[in-house]
Amino acid sequence: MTNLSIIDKLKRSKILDLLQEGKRIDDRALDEPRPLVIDTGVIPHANGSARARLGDTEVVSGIKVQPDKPFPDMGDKGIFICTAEILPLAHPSAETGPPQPNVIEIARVVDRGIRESGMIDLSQMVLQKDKSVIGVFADNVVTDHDGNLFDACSYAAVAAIITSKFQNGK
Amino acid sequence: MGGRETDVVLLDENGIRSDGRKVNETRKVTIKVGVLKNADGSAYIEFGGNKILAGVFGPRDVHPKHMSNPDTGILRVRYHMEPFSVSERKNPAPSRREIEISKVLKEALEPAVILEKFPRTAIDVYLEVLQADGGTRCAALDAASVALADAGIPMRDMVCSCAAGKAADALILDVNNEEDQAGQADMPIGYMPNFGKITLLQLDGVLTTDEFKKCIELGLEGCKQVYEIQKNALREKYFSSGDNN
Repeated sequence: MTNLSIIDKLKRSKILDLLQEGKRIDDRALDEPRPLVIDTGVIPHANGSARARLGDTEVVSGIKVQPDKPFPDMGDKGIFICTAEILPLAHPSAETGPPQPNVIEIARVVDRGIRESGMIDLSQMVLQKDKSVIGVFADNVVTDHDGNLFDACSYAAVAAIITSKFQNGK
Repeated sequence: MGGRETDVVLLDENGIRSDGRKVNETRKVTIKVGVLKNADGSAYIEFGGNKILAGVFGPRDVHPKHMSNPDTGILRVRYHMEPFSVSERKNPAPSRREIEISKVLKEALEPAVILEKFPRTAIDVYLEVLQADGGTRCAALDAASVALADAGIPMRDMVCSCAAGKAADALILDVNNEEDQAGQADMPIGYMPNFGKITLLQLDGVLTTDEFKKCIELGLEGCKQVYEIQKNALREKYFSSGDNN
């Protein structure tokens, strides 16, 4: 097996040297993002779905819309839950098991970004006050990990939500 | 299984199934090799409505260490479904069903992988079901063996897989979700085509001895068809003219 840590140390010093000259190892400008490709409707069984590819980072987001019980202190609002998972096939160091703190942070940051933007009007998702509401679940899975998961997950989740369809209209 | 009541006509008077197939016809299968950058080997399969990603890592160090074996490498398989892959959102934690499928798929792949060449290491196979539509274990097994080949893991044979079963009193190839729910039997088969050996055989439902034999024959026909698609997918990546990665 190749010794990854040695390669990483050499690469690290190369990256730092290049940055001194205002260059990057993949020839991008300092303010140039990697190419972004978003495909929607990739999971027809979900209410909405999208695959976002940011450079070599790839995230698939699937939306499920289904009736649920409201949060006890928000009986007049629908629920929105965003999760994230780095699948073990996304990176050699990704592990199976319950989500690690860094992944929970990604899920919560993406959740807040979408929630606080008001792009989903939760107050219109009440079926019966305090009893039943519509729940929107945005599950993001990272299938290839090459950095910047915050942005990639946000792109995928937003694209999946705005292309969501379900019966009885929102 | 168990012949649940349904409005769907599983087999019409012309012998055509609910999704327009004949009894001895599989759904459309497409396989793409090398779809992931970080994995040592990978494959993406669409088997009818099933969409499954397979990623392989290894041979690599075993963690936890006590799992390693000084005489041989070990194979670890994890089958996992995404929360959005099924009609009702699935809890992301592994269910008993996923753990069972992981185990049987590991046992179905083990005879094909030459593990004894890599003592003290692990080969990890990760199977992620992005969309499920009946027959995921077969499709996952097909993708897994292509991903193993893509990772350059030495193998005695490919493992190809397809289910056969019974619905509306007819023996059918490649049972879909509706036929699984409302049909009479579902029998997934894993097969090493060059050895002519079966590595996975499960049966949920009731068949007579005669039906069982015919069902195996039918299923193996499906396996052989999938094998050709697996080979073509690998050829596409490694032998197609132009740029090879």
